[in-house]
Amino acid sequence: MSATLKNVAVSEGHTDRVWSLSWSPSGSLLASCGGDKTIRLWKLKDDNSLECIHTCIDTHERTIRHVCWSPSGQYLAAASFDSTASVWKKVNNNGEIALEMLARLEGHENEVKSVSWDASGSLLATCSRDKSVWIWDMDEDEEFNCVAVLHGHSQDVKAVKWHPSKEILFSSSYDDTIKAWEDDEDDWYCSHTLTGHTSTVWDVSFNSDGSKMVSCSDDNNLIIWDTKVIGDGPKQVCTLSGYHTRTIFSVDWSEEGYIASAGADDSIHIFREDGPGDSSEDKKVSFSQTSVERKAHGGDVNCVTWRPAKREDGTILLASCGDDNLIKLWALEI
Amino acid sequence: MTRAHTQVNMTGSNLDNPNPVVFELAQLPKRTYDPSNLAEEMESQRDDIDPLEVFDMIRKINDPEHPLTLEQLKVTQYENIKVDDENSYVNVRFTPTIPHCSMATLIGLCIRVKLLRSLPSRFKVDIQITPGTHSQEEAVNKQLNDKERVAAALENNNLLSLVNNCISNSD
Repeated sequence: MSATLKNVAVSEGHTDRVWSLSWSPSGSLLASCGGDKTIRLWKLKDDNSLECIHTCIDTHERTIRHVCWSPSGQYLAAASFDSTASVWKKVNNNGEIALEMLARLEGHENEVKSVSWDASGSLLATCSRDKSVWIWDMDEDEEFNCVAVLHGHSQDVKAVKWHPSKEILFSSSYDDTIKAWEDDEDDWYCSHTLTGHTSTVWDVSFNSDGSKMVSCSDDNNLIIWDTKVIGDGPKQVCTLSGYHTRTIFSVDWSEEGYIASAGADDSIHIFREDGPGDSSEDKKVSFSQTSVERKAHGGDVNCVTWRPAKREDGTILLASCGDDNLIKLWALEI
Repeated sequence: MTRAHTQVNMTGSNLDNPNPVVFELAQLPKRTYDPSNLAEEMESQRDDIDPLEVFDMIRKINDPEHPLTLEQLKVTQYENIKVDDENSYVNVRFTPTIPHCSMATLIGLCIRVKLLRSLPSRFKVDIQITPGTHSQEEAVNKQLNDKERVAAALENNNLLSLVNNCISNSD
């Protein structure tokens, strides 16, 4: 099975490295952030180009490392090196879409690196170089209270990601591990520590039903984990080695089953799970690369993310951003 | 070097290595310019880089503790620079003067920043401690090659001015 990426749009605007991208759940808006300390809101137009419709400035004093839309598409959370996270509300002023700041989350001792909303949209997780993971609860008045401060990682926590349906939080770290956090009557604890990578784990992503997770690392490998039976702990089922030649910073698993990964070798790779008939051994999980874009950006690629919905004509879109200050859109041609 | 004993470094403690060995500068390969090559180079948009050029970029970086260059202390050496121009890759190894040098990360950061500002952007750079010459070798290497840590460090004004001081006279 082959599927290739075709570059359909290049968007300039950021004046420094672009660190992170997040599609709104409907796929109509893309949020971006980076070293220029701005958050930008882009509207996806019919011709698959992006138009910058709003820019947030002067909110964070340092790099904005990560952005994430809530499941409702009403809120955007942002993590900054200035040791705070911010939550923004999407407003519509006579047809003009904008972001208004709702809350600033303070508590971390230094750089906040990632934010993630749970499936219900009421819990927000943040993580930091201070080695901790915090869980915040948003109440009906849109106010945020910290409900847990989780210690366990021995180094920076690089990313947090909630399971797509269960109330389980995953965090990946500079200590080379991934930890799963669950609650027992509001008491959050580390239920599993996943070892397998031999260097910093930069990111994790889930397939659409949450039965599998993929992680990416400074060891240049992707690892696929079976997360069906959480009780026994996620099991490592497959390692994708020899594709990336430098650190992998970002990985995203699409609704349709495609895994996109990107990193410091400037490339984007696309993988897909082999069907039962494609595999040499029965029941063994295996993945194949369907496409690679070696010079995807003129520098490190920091984030790749699939548009959550197909376009009306069936096109699957991938957004990427990099150290070249650019955002690019790619169509997956199957 | 009695004066050095009374100096304090940025952390307020005494110098890590108050009396470092200063080396005579090594003989380097002579650069030969072929005018026809030069014309060719100017025509092609690509700016070719060799190890000598990389060494020239970092040899005069100042040591954080002493008014001496990294070359004089043999922290940086021509032999410890590898360049793969075709694949736009540079690898620099540096040698702390003592195995417990607390300045190792700062020195590595200075080399990284200097190369970031001097090399064409197509280059990927790895910076490592010469194997076996530092007690925290692995930890320092990991930090120096974590771009997020480096980016955050360079937003710290105190650290940035330390780095800028060390590299200010290195051109």
